[in-house]
Amino acid sequence: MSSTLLQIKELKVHFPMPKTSLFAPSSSAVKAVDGVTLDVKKGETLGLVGESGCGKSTLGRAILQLIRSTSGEVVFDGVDLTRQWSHRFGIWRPKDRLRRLRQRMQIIFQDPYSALNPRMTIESIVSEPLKTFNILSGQALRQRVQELMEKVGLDPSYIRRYPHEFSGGQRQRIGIARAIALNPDFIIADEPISALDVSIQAQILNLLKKLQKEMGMTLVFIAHDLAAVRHISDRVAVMYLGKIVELGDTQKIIYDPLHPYTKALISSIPVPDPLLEKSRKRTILEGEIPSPIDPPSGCAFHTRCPIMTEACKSNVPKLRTISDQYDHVVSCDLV
Amino acid sequence: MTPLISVKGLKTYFRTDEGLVKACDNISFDVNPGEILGVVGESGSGKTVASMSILRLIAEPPGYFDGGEIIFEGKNLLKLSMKEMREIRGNKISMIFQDPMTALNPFLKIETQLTEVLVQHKSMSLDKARAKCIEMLKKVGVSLPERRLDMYPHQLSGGLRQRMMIAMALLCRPSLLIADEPTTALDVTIQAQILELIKSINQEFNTSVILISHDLGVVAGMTNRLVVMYAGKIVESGLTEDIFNKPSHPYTKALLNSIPRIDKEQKQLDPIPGLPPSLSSIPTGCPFHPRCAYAVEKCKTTYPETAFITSDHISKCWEVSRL
Repeated sequence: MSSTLLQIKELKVHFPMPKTSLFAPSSSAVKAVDGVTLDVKKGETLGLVGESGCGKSTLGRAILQLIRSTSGEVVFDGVDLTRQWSHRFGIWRPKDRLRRLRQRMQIIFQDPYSALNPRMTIESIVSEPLKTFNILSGQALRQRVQELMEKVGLDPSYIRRYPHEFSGGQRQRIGIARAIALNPDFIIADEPISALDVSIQAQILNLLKKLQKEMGMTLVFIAHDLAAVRHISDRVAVMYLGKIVELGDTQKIIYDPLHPYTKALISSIPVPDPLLEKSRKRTILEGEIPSPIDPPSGCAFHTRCPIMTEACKSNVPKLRTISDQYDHVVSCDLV
Repeated sequence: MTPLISVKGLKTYFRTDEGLVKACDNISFDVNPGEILGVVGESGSGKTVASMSILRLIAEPPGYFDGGEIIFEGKNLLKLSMKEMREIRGNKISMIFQDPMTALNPFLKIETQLTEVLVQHKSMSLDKARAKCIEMLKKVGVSLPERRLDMYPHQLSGGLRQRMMIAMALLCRPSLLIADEPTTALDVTIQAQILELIKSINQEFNTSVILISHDLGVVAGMTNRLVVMYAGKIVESGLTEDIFNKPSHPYTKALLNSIPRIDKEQKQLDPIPGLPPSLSSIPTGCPFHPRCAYAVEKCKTTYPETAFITSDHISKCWEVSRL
């Protein structure tokens, strides 16, 4: 298989909580990402799924170091990004090396309404990364912007328009044009379709798939919709309460999930087929995701797990390799 | 079977700065006693306005009813006074909304919001109403109901808030429950819980349900019959199984081909080209023709007549035979 572009080791992102009183013991923290180890291979699409609050967006941002991680490593093409920060006058600033590396790593955001500055024209939005890194200027810059617009399926004659003149799907295309402007090696798409109408979602999914193929990019696709993730990803990682509970080849995860959470997640997704829906056996999980401030002891999933045993309450399960061929790892002691 | 509620030729229009918006344009459907009717469509297709029209929750002005009638228990709801409507809302017909955070009053305890329904409609004493609420919360699967009653909405999770909404809607044992995208704001595992709950309510209390959703997967498993809306019009309706087995409108068919599925391998998704139209500038003729793969000259000028696939399965398309 191809080489590794990105290695994440024991990555943690904890957000400290304000102390409730002056005399309170050490302050607690929201453990949004709590020890994630993950490799992303060159040229692949890795899907990252989980429910709201599981830490998938925080993980995405920590990979790009848009937020500083608490501990652990993010090695991008041989460079540990978490070390590329300088601390001066009480403020953490990214070092030049991190800034330069960011040319090669881009992000597409969930909400195409808030991700674009309403006071900027499409031209200034899409050209901004090219200007920031002094890559192009003048006529060549405009030409490149028009080229990018065509690439994402927008009419280049709209170049002077403002975001409010576009629909949600078109805005998402503008966001994608901005992300691919620098020909990045690596893109994180954070829920890029969940704010869009059903009939538009497929357009954006197909566009991402096409661009990824044409430009040979590596893509991390974050979503809560496992059906969409399945369509676009080579491998899928499932997150629960800041940890990865299962990871493997997409086919393997969909047809032969091992972790009880993955099983329940797949069985909760409704299928547009009335006959199949009637005959399907559904595992309905009880309760809701516990708070990441005070996650359950042992296996974090034990409070909702249908096959939980006494041991699960105290033993923290480790990610174990089930099959090398499918890169299949799972963190459940009962599998 | 006499339908529980019968919507006939409903026209809900809005006068806006951009012109006349025909949010519901000649909509007709029935809901039979004890059945779950699904209404599917994308945002702006008019599905929410249709349900708001039933409860007369449309602000008039700018909205007004240009025609049609909604017959419920022998009365035309569109002709009732606001006082008479208040007797029906929350009592005989209840609604649960998409976003349980904005539908509950953040300043009032859950207890106040729940008991109000019974005090208003059934003239119950507060103590009796409270006991009744606790009983209902248990039925909808809320643990520790006594403690939850003392809480404010922000202290509850999304799934619990939606259960509170459902409990509130059911307190007076309505004969019709309108659920407007009840699970869109929730996670999939919580969605599965809430859908299961709605199904069991339908069976246990024999409450009819209108389930509004944009998710074809949700309606497939839940509903007996289905209405597909596009640009303020019903483009296809029939038994849920018939519509999924033999989608007979190009829009329904295209929608089914465009969604990624968990149960099947798909080499390629076929997106629907273009965008859903704005309701203030609906294309002439068939509103779907600019995005339709089957459109012919006639579709651009003339709105299709009703085509009967079976006596119960209808489609508004000129080119049904080619599908």
